Amino acid sequence: MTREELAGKTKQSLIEIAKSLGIRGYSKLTREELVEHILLLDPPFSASSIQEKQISQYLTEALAGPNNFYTQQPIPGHPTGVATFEDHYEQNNLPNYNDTRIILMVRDPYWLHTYWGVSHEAREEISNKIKCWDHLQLILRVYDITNVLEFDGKNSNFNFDIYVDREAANWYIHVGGPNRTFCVDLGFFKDDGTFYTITRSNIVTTPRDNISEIVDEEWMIIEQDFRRLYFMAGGTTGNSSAELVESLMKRLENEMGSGGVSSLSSPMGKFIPKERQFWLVLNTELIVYGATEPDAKVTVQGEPIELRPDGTFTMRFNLPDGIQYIPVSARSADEVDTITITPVVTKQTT
Amino acid sequence: MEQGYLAMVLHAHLPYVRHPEYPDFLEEDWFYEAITETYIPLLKTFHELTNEGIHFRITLSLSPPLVSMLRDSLLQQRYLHKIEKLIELAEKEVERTRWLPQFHDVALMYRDHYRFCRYFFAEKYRCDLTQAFRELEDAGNLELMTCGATHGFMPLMLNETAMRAQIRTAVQTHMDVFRRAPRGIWLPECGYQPGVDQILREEGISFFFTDAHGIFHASPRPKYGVFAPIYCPSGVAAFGRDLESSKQVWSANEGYPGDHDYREFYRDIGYDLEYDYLQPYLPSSGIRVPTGMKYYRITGRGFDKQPYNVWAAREKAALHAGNFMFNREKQVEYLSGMLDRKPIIISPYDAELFGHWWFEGPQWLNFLIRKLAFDQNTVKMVTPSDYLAMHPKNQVSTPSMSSWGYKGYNEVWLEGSNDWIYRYLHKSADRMVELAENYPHAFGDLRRALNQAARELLLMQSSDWAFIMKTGTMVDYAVRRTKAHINRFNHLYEQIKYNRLELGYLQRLEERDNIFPEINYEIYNRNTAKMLAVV
Repeated sequence: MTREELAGKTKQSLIEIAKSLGIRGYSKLTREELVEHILLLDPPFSASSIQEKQISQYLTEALAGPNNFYTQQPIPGHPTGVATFEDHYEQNNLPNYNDTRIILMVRDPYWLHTYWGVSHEAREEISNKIKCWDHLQLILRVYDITNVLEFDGKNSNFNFDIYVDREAANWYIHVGGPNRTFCVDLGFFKDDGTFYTITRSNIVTTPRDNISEIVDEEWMIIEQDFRRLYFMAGGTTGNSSAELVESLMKRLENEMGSGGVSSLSSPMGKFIPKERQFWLVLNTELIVYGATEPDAKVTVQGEPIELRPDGTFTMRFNLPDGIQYIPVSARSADEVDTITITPVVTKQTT
Repeated sequence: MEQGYLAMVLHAHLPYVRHPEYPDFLEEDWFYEAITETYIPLLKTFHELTNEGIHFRITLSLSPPLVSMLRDSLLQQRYLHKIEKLIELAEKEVERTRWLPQFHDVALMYRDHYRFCRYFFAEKYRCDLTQAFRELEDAGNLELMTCGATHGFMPLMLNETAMRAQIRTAVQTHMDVFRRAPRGIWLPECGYQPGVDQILREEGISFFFTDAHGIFHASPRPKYGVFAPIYCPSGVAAFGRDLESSKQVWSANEGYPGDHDYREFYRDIGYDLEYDYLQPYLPSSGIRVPTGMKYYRITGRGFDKQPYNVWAAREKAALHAGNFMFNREKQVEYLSGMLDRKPIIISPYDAELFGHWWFEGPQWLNFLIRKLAFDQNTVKMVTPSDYLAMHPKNQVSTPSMSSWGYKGYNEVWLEGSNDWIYRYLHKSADRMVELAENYPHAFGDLRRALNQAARELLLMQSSDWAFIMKTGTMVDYAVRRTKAHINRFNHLYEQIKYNRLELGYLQRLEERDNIFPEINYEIYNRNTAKMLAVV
């Protein structure tokens, strides 16, 4: 149960829950304290049995200690190592706002998206006064209110209804109308056949999908020239403006967008040849290592290398086919002694 | 005398990713990779050109999350550590490839570049690259713009106060860092809807950009199409993207970056080399990740890749720069014959395309700038500010709602994978306004909590999360971040509203989500927001 759900309950029902969870001394607790204790013992997420054990141990300590459990150390042995109770809570819960509202958004010139919610109180009220909530057929009534100055529920240009499941909480609406204004009611039909509005959405306007028909006299352009500009911008051929728009949008769709670059995330995964079913990659590398006086100068194939503080060194080479002569020379710091050792390595791949 | 103008516009942005609670964190690598592969190569190119006295004009937006990360001391330290490790690996690679001359040159190139990065980042700019950008603006070659505070996508934000807060926080951050008010803005994802321009105007912004159809479908019909700006009724100028020049760089099939001589992005030694050798350079979880060192060129379809040839790629970048310039000259000549004023061509790109995805991109830009300066007189590089100073009279028209995402509208950020977030984003924004109006002039811990709530709201609004959910790589992280900020905001909301602040919790959030240290939650108060003008 989430904090918000608990907050909506009466103290009596909180006490009932506290009893069922075996919380002792509940009668002395305030409403807020009850919520906190219930949340602690009934964390709104599911965990594996091992995690549950660890978490319950953690919670027991938290309850026994000072009342601010957020300051506790990370849960021991949590899969991600350092994630805290907070992190776990965050990832397994989302707020339940318990409010009544419907919001409308524009997806493109032809589609809208809406989501909604109805509070427990509103549901109860509808059940008590009009019709049992559990038997309602919810309806989205979509109004076209293009150029309607003040929409009052009756003066739309036209409207249509969408029947939605009671479990649904969002919907994509095909309105097919660019450059038009819309509003949506969430409601249902009462038994007498009249439409009851539970809540009304914000008002949105879809974008144009074409060239504006409005021309500014001061900034006139010959139709032919405008078409050529459009052509320059990405339209290919076509005589009607509709064809031009179509080709422009197609180019947008196929080629442009913002590429994949809006996110820097490098696609993960190993580079694997896709054309073949089975594959093998083989490489050989050669490690040359040794030791000398820490202050000596060492060269490998004539190139100076750096020694570790203890005078040891390790070199690693990719080994191609053929013969490699690898002279390793060490020269003492006083430049008196020089020792050269030359391994010869032959690699052959058959 | 020039016949038209070219505005090269780069948009630099990364989501705010910073995890002090982990010793190393995979998604922070986006930032480190971008510094090494994009920001430093671009800065190096621009500084070289400036030092040689070659005049150029580039418009560059630096998003507030990116600016904040560039200024964050923890991330600066971590980058320094990363680049040290990369130098170490590259030195080993120089040795390892000694008997493979075709790879040896490439290894040397990486080693030298990484060493340069350390010098440029740590010694020259004392770990703060924002100052390198600022110098270029002072030199008159860059025009810096801002973006939404956390790259929030405006057409789906709905709450006007929340939109204003995105803009105002962005402008404020920009001024704090660059000591200049930004004249222009890159609207996140190029997302515009009528009305946004009014907020821009009130926050002191003079111009923004839309995609081509945002201008072409403007009303009244715009006389010059995308080849001149229009003024919105608010008086803010809107510039439209030119698709022809975009396509030459962007297009997956026909664009320059797919050329066979260019470096292959996906083939990285992080996947190719022996595990024990790489292990010290992999994340602590031990999984293989790209290191940034890549030895092959694109070559063609299929697995058999040819070794990368540094010089052949460089030649190709020069060739492509010449081709791009030639096409712009022809375009300008054609347009100026049609129009009664000099056309402007707007070519915007994500900055991270250059260097990170298209390794030779910064070289290409370098060649392009040099060629434009010395090899022709038809096209002149300008920024939108330059253009508006020369052509202050423009048609008044309202752009159409649009974005530069797939299909041109809002679908990328509103579809099956990500539509669930808006219920929480909208409610949180409304609740933030509620808090700001119920608790005006707060002080002490309450003020801290209100400011932190504003940060959590801004962070959940990043368009990056919805974008990542849609594109399908690293989805878990995007979902995780969205949920985290929604819940953190909600906890703060309840703690404030029911007067039971938990200071330990608040402090942990302040340490974790530390973006915008100077934020003022009162920007969410509708009664005073308009009066809190930017000083």
